[in-house]
Amino acid sequence: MTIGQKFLVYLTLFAFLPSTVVIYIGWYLSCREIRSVNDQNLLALHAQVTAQIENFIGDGLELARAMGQSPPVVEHVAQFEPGSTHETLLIRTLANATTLDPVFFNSSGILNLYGLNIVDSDASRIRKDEANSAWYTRVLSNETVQLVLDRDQLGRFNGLVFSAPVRNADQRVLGVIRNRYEITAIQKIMYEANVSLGPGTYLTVVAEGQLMADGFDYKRIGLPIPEFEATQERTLAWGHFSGAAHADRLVLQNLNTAPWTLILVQPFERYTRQERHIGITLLFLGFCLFALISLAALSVSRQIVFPLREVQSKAALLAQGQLHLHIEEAGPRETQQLAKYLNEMAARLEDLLEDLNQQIHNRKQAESAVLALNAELEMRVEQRTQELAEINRELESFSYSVSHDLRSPLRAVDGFSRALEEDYGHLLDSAGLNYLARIRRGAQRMGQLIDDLLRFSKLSRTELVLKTCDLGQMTAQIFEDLQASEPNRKVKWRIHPVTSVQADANLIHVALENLAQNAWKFTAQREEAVIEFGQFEENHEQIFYFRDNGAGFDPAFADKLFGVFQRLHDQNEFPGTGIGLATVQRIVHKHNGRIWANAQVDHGACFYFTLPSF
Amino acid sequence: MNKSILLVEDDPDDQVLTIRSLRKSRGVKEVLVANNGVEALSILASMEEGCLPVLVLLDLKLPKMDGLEVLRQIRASERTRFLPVVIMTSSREERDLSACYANGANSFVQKPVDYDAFTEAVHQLGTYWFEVNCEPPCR
Repeated sequence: MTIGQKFLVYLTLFAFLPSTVVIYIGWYLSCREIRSVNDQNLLALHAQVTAQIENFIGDGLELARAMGQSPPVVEHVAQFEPGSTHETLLIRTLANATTLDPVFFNSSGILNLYGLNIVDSDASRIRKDEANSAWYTRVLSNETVQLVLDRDQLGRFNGLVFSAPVRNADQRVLGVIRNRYEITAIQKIMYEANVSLGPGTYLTVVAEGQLMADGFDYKRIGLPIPEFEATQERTLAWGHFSGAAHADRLVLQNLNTAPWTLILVQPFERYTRQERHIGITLLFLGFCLFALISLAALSVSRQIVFPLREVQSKAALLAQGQLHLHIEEAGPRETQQLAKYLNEMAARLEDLLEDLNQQIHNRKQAESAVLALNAELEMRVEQRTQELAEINRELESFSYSVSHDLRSPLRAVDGFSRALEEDYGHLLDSAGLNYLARIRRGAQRMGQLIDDLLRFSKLSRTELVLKTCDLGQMTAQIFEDLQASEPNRKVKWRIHPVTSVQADANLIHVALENLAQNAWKFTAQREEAVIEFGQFEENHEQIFYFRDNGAGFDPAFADKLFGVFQRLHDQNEFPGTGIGLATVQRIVHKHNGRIWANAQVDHGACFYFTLPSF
Repeated sequence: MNKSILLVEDDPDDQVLTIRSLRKSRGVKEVLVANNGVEALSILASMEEGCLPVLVLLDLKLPKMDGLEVLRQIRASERTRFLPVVIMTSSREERDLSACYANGANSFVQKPVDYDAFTEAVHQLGTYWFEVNCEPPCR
């Protein structure tokens, strides 16, 4: 949900609904007030018209009663004789009375006790028998003043008749006085009341289920009025016509002085129109309010949402990596701060990226430097390898020369010494022969030395050819050869069975030979020489050993034992070149093994070595 | 039949010692000495057909032309193709051994420093090649 949508929802919840409720309540209250005021007005109007009618009727009744009791009238009636002065005077009196209301008071007459009209202001009515009329019978039976509605031949109301008894001083009834008013007198009152009313509203007087006066249309008098239902409300009856096309509001009240009812009719439309009018006005006002709020909301949302959208779209671009963008710091403070922070973040990110790029650049440079260094190193290694190969070749040709050129003179020395001995031996004494022998021994030892050295120097150039070797068998063979070379020596062999190893057979044979010869040599002075070859395991390592009970050596010099030309014994005592153990060590090292020794002077020596499997 | 032997040796000491040892072998009538390879080849070339030496004792380290080249030339020539050649030299290098045998040397002997052993070796050579071995057919 976007902020705009949320805003709309909140606007509806917090502005639209309450204002709608307020408008409705206002409308409702207004309607009630309108009805109340209208009702007051209606009641007042009704009361006013009622009073007018009642006044008129009251005046009429009072006049009739007064005339019935006025002494001249009583006297004239008492002494009435047709054609007498009483008659004349009586007519004059009655005629004078009608002048009180020349428009509607149309006749005043007196009936005798038999109901015969004896005198009348309207000459046409004299001598008429009115014994059956209501005004005559009611007055005679009640002896009070009466109001009677008169009808024409068609039965329509056309007059009001006030009748009262004529009494003498003894209260004896002498006759009945009858004052007749045109119905239009009421019609006039109604007219005057109705003309001031608005359209649709009218007053009407009904009696005996018929319309009596409505103030406008004389012809409508006597028409039956529609039935209506009335409810008692306050002191008045309220109601409406049943079966009417549209609902009317009725105010009706029976007159105190007459059996009539004054009905004030107001169509409900009056209310509803007013109410609708107010409703529309309120709705319009509400709409205006809503529009105003909406405008305000729009403007607020413009102030909030638009800058936010701006920030949002820019932030989206930021997210895509356009870090150099600058977001305008506009709109409300929060948005400004948001933009500001985003800008700061982008700037920091840009810095970081720059750092990162720098680092990457540096690393790449370092890598290329390392690569260059590696290449250079490889080049150097190759160069060194070539140099080494060159040196090796040189060494090879050197040793080749050595083997040739050093041996030839030695051979000459030895050979000619021998020749001298053979050819001229008889001329030499024993000392001379001894010297010759010494010369020859020296030459031969030199030759041996050269052979050993050459073999030793060749070792490092030899490639290992690994095979499964049985060291025990090899050692046994070597011992056999040694024993054969010196059959007089008594040596006890102890060769223990050992495990097979992967080794270069030729080299390992040389090594075993050297060790065996070593042991053989240094046990020469033992009467019971014992030489032992075996194997044991220590720290998961197979260790081979050669042990003898020979001359041994000072353990302080154990580390010097394996150096070239290192000798721990006199040449006279134990002859040797001092190369043998160096050769053994080199062979063992070429097999990634170790060699060491321990010994005591005169208590024999033990040589240990390992040959790890490759 | 000329029972001669051709000794190709540049070292005069070795020449003397070798000749001295050869003298003790009965079959050897004549010892021809060449001081270098070129000389050895020219001696062989100058010899008549059927008068080739019984054996050539060839040293490897020689001035002008080394023993291996002499051997090649001998084997290359139709005349001397079957001539027994024994290499007699101070060293015993692997590559020399294989090169010599590859080029048709009949034997390879290392000269021992010990003169007694040297004499014994030469003596045995003379005995073998002159008395035991059957010569290749003459051309």
